[in-house]
Amino acid sequence: MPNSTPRPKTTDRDMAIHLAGISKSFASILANRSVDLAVRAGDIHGIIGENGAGKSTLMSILHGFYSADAGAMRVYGTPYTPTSPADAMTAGIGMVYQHFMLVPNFTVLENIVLATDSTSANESKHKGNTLQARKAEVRAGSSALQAQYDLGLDLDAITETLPVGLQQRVEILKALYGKARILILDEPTAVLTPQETTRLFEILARLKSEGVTILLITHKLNEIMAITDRVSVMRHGRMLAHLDTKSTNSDQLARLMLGEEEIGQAASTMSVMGAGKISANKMTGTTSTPSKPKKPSGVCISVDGLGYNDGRGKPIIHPLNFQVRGGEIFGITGVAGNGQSELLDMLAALTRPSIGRIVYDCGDAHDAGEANGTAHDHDGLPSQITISHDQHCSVAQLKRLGVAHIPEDRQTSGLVLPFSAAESAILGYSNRFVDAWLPPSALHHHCSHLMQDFDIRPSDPQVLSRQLSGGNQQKLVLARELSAQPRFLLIGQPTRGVDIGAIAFIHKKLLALRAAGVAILLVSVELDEILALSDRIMVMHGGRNMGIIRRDQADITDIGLKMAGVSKPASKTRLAV
Amino acid sequence: MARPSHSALPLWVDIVLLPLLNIGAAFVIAGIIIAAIGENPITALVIMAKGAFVYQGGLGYTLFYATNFIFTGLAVAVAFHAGLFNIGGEGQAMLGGLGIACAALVLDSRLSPLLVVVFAVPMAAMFGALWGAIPGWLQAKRGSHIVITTIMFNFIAASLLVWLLAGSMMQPGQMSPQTRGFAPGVWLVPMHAMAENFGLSLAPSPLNISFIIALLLLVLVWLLLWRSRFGYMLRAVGHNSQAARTAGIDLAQTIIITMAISGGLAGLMAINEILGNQQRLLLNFTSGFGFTGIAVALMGRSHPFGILLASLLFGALYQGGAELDFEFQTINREMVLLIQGLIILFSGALALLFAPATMSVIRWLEEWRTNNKGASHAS
Repeated sequence: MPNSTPRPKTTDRDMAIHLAGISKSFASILANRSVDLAVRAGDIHGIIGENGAGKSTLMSILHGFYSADAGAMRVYGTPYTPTSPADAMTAGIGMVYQHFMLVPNFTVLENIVLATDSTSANESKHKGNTLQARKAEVRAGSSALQAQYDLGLDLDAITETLPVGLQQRVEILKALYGKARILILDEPTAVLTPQETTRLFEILARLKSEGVTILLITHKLNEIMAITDRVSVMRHGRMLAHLDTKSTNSDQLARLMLGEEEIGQAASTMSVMGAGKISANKMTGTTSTPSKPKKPSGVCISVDGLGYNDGRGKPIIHPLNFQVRGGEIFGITGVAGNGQSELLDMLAALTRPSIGRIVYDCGDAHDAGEANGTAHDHDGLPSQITISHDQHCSVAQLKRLGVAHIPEDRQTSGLVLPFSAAESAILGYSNRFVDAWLPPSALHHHCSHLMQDFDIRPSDPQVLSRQLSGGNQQKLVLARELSAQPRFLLIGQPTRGVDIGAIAFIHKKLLALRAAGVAILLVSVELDEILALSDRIMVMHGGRNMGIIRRDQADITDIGLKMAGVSKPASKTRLAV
Repeated sequence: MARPSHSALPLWVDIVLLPLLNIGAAFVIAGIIIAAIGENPITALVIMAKGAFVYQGGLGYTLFYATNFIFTGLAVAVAFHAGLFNIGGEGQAMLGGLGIACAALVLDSRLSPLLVVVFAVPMAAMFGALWGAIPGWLQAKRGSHIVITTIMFNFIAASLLVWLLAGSMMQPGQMSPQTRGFAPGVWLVPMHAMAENFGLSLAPSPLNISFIIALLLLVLVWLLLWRSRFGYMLRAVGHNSQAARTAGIDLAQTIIITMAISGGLAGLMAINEILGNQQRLLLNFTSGFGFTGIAVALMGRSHPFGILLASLLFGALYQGGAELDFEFQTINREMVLLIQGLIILFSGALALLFAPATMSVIRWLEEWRTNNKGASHAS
């Protein structure tokens, strides 16, 4: 375990939090494996790791939301066994969740009253029993805290009218009013603008100076470097390192966080740290680079200045430029929530771009008229489709052009769980069947073919979609989309929650499609998977293109820094490949 | 709207045993209430059953009412499969009646009665469909909640009918809010009249060919939902609209068409009441059948066969209840409404009340059986 310079011995009393051997599993997934953690009182302590590294689970255990399967916890030296968040509050631990727990139509004051009323057991002396008296009491207390920490909140403002940054401060005030001496913040900057982030960090520094201990969970390296005193790195449910922030750097943290060792050794053996996840490279039987593609054909998908703003006009995706060629797998990676899902939705014609355009081109009729953005081949079917803010295109039209979409979440978007497998197997393709009627025998026949070809078990078309395992559900979606013989494939998180055997199978299928000349756009948060399959890799951070890298030139540290948003976004000139 | 999933139950328990237990419980409680007001519940039950099935014309009336319930129950069920709660059956049926009246009053002096009927029946469906499609459109395009809009459209339909029937469509020289009677022959022939042609003598009742049409629609709706492409898309939207959208199904179009079909089915209820029975349009002819259709669909588990059974039950209650009212001083029509209410309560809100107990009984029986088998094998 890499560790920092030896430090003077600290007594147990100096430790605000001490966790020893915390383990937690959900069904078959080990979320935390024997995690140790010591947080000095008055520190800002960062916990960093990829999505799914187990950070949030660990914090939920500390906050009494889950109970650990094994291990012991101490808070300020006292044994601590919370059974609910109320116990955590009693022990002086407050948490600010990523999704705020506020009643939107209450005032700030009312939200604080609500929060303290539920934990009033530890407040012995209630001055009054009426709501008015309570409010006056809370107002006095809150105002004092506001002044102390310079929060700048209007207690009578309606919560939902406040900007996100202020709502977050309401959460902090709530915790402080509940006498929290330890504050846990889960990805606090995920929803903030850079200015709000700066302001938050000022408040955190103020809290620290008043002796509050802060646990900051994040996947952003620059935040760790900017504000923390100590940092702990998690990966695959394990605690890998505890470091003094001063004595480390972004580079070292990125390597630890993304497990460079694992990828470096992928071809030979699995590393100890990556024991939970078998490298995709190994499973597909390919070495680090996929076999050289046939000469890629022309550009099939081109994305020009494509951007997306949310309902309030905040940019979620900053203009992107890239092209995907036939016979190529174009991988998009990044920490979840950095715009990949929105990009995929735009590509699949599920949401409308705010600016820029997407062009799907079958390459059959380049010379055909493009006046209305849609060229037609001899059969009158379009051979090219353009999507932009003004040019809408339906999912059905895209399907007709040969665009298959395997959504990121198979259960909410890919399947109808109460449907039989046979019914789910024609979702989106029901028009391929005779006229207006769907003969059950044809459905059955179609599905049992797919089940055979894709080794879906149980191979009974009448089984309900929800009764299939995750891997088999994913294979069913894959089978359905591939049976339409697409020319373009959009695929999101192809192996999320899928067993190892199915991962290998799915990867093999994708490589076969690539060999057949299909233009494949792959979105995945699994870096292993991206590296195993992609010809080129685009890294996204904060909705920006951080750079497009050819697989044979990919460098794990570089990708890690790009994912963490440390490198500068790609300039225009670097985009051409 | 997700239905409670209780896939652990065997099918026959879910669709036969549990509904019977629920109805039984409703009758037991109703019996207690009847006993409490000083009447004999058994006598009351016998009179009700006789009124519904045995007395002269009783069965005819039972089936006549059941016809109404089939139409409105199917209307609710079709929308329900698409995740839409159509509360507007009442208004859609009123509009269906208006459609018939428009066709009949304009055409009956110009065309032969048979032709008028041939026009009037589709008019009922079309007017109802329109009255369902508008809330569907509002839901699909403007996001107005279908429950609210369909309720509001009931009120609009009622007001529209009052305005027309007390105004331009009112029979001249008459004081009641109704149109003139349609020309002779502009009707759906009652069953007993038809039976006479074949030399059969049936007790007179308003039962007419609408019943046959309703039975046909039960089959057609089943085909639509489980055998047609549109029905497939409709159910996909109902179960998981996001997956349906991702797959390229046009949600707005599906919702609007579904509501049109649903409204059309409710509108057809008017052919039974107006063309089959009244031969004129009058106020309040729907008398709650549209609303009770919700209970019918609920109890019939939104399946055509279940709806047939539930419609027969509600038809029998309606007719038998009239008989109770007639026979007892102390029991009136409201008591029948009470029994209906109890049935709705038990088969709707408390549908799974007996499920856990039933399940453990079945498990216990199975264990007992396997144990016995094991024992007999051993010996």
